Amino acid sequence: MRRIDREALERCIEIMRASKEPSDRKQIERTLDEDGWQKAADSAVYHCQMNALRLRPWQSPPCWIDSRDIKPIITRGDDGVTGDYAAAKLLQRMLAHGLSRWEPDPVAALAKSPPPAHEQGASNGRLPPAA
Amino acid sequence: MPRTAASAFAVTPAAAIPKRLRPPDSLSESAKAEFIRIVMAEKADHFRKSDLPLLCSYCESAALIERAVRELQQPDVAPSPRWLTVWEKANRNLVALSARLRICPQSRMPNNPKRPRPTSYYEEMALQEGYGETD
Repeated sequence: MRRIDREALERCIEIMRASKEPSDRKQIERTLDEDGWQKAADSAVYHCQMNALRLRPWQSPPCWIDSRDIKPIITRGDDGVTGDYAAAKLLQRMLAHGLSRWEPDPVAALAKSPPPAHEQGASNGRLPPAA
Repeated sequence: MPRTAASAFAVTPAAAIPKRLRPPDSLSESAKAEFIRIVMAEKADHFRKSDLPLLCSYCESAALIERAVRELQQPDVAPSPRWLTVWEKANRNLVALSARLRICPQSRMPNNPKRPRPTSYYEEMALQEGYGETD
């Protein structure tokens, strides 16, 4: 596991531990005790991304999309229901910004991260066009 | 064979229809007409006995407004400032009481207005990027 992934998952667990909902706090502690860190982290990131992106229960958060599936999902197009297309697009943007797939709040993380190199060149217009 | 007890039937007897407020005799004719119109227009349990003085006052105000308007609209007669004052005061009373009696459109609004439901970020993305709806 990459360092940024580990850090992101740790943050997800911390967010769950600090949740205002007593049931969330209880659940994360119980999962940590009974099922181990990985399971707890998986559940925490799902919870955090669903909340942060205000997703409907039937929509997939970016953490559910395998990076190898991004292109096929985007090629298939938006089905208008499951949110896989949007999740894949969002994950693609996150990865391009060097972010972890497990970021608890993908939109906030994207806002904080500098744009990827190819976008920097295109947006500020300081670089000369490629010959 | 004994008769089946009423409690043994699956169908429960209908609840008694709540009684509507009746206009007191002290009301003027036009106020009484307004009273009946209002009481019949609302649900049977909308008003209680304790609302009677307010409702009567409302109906008298409505009757006064009607009378004042009639007087003010007399052809070939200059509008009387007296009736204009009556009309204005009765109107003010009517507006205040309509809210208290919960018979104005504003009172029909739910106490807890529907908050807009939080929109999924994917819907925002779809709008930004111009593809189909996600919900």
